[in-house]
Amino acid sequence: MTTSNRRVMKQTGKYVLLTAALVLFAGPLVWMLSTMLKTKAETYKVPPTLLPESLNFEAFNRLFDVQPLMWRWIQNSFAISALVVLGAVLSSSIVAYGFSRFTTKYKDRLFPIVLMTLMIPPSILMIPSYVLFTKLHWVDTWLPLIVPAWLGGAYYIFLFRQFFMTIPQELDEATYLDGGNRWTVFTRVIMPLSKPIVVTTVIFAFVNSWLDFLGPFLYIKSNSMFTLSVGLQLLIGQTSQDFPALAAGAFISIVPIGLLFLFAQRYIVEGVVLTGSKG
Amino acid sequence: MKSKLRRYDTLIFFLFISPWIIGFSLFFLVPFGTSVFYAFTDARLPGAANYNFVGLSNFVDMFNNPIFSKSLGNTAYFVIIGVPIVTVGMLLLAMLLNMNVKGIALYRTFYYLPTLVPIVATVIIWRLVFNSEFGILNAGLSVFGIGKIDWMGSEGLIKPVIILLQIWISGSGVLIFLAALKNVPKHLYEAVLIDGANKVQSFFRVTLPMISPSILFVVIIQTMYNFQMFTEALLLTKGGPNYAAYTFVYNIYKSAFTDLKFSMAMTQSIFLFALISLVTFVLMKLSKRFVYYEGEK
Amino acid sequence: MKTNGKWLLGLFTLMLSMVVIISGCGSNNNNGGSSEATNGGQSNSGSAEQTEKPAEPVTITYSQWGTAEELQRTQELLDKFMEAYPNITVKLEGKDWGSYWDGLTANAAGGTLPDVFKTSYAFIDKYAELGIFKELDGLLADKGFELGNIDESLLGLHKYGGKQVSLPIDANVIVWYYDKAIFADPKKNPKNAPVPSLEPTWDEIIDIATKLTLDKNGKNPGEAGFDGNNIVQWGMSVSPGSTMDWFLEPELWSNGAKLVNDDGSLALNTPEAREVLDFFIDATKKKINTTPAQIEGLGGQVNLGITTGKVAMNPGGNWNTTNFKEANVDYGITYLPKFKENKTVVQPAGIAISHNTKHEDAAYTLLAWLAGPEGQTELAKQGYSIPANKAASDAYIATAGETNKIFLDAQQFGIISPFTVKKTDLVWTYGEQSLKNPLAGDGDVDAAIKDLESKLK
Repeated sequence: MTTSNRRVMKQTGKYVLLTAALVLFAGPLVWMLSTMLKTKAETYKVPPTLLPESLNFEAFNRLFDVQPLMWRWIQNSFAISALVVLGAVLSSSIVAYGFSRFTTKYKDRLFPIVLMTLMIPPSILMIPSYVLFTKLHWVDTWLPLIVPAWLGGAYYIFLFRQFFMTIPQELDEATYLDGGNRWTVFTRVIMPLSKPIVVTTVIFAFVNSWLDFLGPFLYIKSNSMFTLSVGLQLLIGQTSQDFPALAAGAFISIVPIGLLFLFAQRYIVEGVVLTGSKG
Repeated sequence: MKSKLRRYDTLIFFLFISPWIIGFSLFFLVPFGTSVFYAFTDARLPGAANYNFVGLSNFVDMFNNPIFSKSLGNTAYFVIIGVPIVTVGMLLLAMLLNMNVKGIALYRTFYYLPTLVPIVATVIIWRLVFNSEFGILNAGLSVFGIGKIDWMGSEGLIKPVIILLQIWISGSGVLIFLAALKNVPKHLYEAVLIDGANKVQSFFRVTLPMISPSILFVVIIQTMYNFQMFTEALLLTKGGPNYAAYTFVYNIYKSAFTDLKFSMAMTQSIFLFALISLVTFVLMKLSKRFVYYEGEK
Repeated sequence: MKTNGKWLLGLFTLMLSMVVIISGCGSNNNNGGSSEATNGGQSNSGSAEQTEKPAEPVTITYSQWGTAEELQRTQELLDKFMEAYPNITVKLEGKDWGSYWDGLTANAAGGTLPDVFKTSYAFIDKYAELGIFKELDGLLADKGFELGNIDESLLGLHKYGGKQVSLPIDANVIVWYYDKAIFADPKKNPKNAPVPSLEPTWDEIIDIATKLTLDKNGKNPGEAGFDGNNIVQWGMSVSPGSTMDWFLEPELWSNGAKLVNDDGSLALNTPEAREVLDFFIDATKKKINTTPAQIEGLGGQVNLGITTGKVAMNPGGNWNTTNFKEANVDYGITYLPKFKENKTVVQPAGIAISHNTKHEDAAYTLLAWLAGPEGQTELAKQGYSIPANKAASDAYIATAGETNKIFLDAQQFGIISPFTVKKTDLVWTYGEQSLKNPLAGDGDVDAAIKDLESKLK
């Protein structure tokens, strides 16, 4: 075999593998879209067809008919995620500032604890947290989902702190000379420079809150207070025969995040890489 | 004068980190203390007025329960078998996407999409794809003459199906590996090639050590995730078929909300915590031997 | 001073948490103990038939399980209630059967029980132990509720320790449905199998089901060249392992066997019982019946099989007619197929009031309306559920007509097999996991039975 032939074979091989990977990742999504656009009877055809006979949006009508709360759930998810994002940015940056700029022995002893909490699996606290929230009467409210974000998230604290430490202390000094104090240094110097981390935190906090299932599942009981994740779970139980409607529900839950991904792809990538390399 | 300033400074420090202190106490210490407390009682519902202290009997009952062993076995399967498979899968995918091929950018958009799908939607999609009668997978297989496979109803297949699901949503790991691969200094490869090594050898001598910190990170994240698997068990098959997908955390949930035994659920939570701590500790110790940080040797 | 600081902090927070826990334990409103009747302080004097209308507007929650269609029927019912009592607003919380009970537990734990909620006779014991029901005896007597209209047997199934904890609102039965369209279509029914008779035997049903199970070439099971991997239509769909309470148990009784003995132990090892189990295993192996995988593929609910258009016959409850109408299925009804005798189950669902409701008056009003003549008549007029209250029987017959009279007649064949906590767990927790696949021919039935026997001890 000549070298150029071998090269062609290698190239083809690479494309074959890549296409296989593409089928693996995109395939299920394509199937979801296909199911979503079929009529109910079409989904029961044997053998199953890949393409729907026509573009049929009835599933969406049925979905909202059967589950009028769908729209409410979308709004709920947005509201909760927005509040979580706000809390995460504010509280994590403030706490991180404390852990980065002060010279006190407590800082060095307490920060490892912050890191340690990153390692704690949330599910072991699942049941006792539930007990705590029942005593506080926070069950069936959004408080268990939002308040923790306002009290500092270890991950974001870590990110902010690492970034703050790269900001030269001379800027701090300059502000002190101008008559500022710790707080003004924070607001006027540190934060304006921290836009990249803020963006990363906003995106990650939003995505995590939007995707969260366990939290809303445990703590929210009234249907009208559900987030989209838990609402979909209810849908599975109540419309198990209607495949197009289920696919439509799944589709709706992906759209907001999909849009976010399209516009903020770069930041997401940077954020994930940042964690991986520092991990 | 100096110490006064320092004490004042310390006060401001605590002020700044107060949100975290409140959060840590409220959402970690309190629940943790509660679970330790209730694990030694027989309370059925939290806040029940009539509970008794039963010493270690909860722990004894827990170990004697056959479902406990089953759930522990399942979770062990996912940790011991699932994590390596998923990690290797991520690495292979990263290497695939790292190739310099025309149009690679297109392929690179798709692998991350599934991570953005809410887990419930993923489960819906999985159930549609793996549907034994009407799903696309069995339809595709039938083209090759393979008969209908009952993916969700076979004890032996349900775990691999879940592992496949994990690979599907493993985009973050692939991304981390991709970045790590790109960061391997090229001159190392050249040096090794001069020594006469081939592709496979250079992989083991250069690539693996250089990306080992990322491997450790991904392994730890995956391990933690699999120890706590719950949503997949709940939504895909409610722990079936025949307890094959009954994970440990699912058992905790069931003990609390179906069997109405909250104190037992606390006992199980503590056991899980001990188990995870042990495994993490072992992993960290092992990592000292296998992980190569830049700046050493 | 150096080390003390951190330890002090840690100790402080630990103490804080202990204080919170211990103080929380003592004072809270979740009673783990027995339910107490707190209706002593009723200021309203009970007038004979009518329920009192509270003066100010109040909102209560009502929770039940159901598919989307079933919940819509309930909403219609509640709308009628709210017309009659404009100052009471009822919020409906609908869940699917699977999540409903876990949700109720979570509610009980969190102190957020709905004011009024639907109960199943099969779960009374299990939840009464937790004390979540408000005892109704005193309340019913005070308000003069006419209990005589409800059959004593139905009332009995909703008692705990001799006290009435929930009121029956329907007496639903299980029957056998078939899709008339499939029988009438020569393409789907090439062998011209007749529709099942009113009291079919299993031999008759197997014969019909065999003729109506078609592979993609139109062949039946047993014919040469039958392709079991490419079935396009099934003659019947049953799943004894996952419908132990409403299908397997009556079928066992139909053959002279039982599911559980009187002492609560498993009764599946008798020859009569094994005959029944083997019968279904055989039918599934012969591909005359759907396998669990195929049932999952069709949406997972055996009683809704005929809504897919791919199943000719399946068992179901009278309430499923609402699903069939929604799916435009032309359905026929017969009694459950019998081995030796006609048997079925009567499953009275009920409604209860939460033990710590803050709106007892409004909650009682809803309860009394739903379980009393007015609500039951409205329920009867919908024509889906069978009212438990005899005051509404005429309305039911008037609406449901002759075709649905079978539901009332079927009640005579109802088995009397009450639920204990152990039986509830058997049916809904262990049983399905262990028996679903073995009873379809996939797995060791003996081992599964042994496993269940030990769990029932």
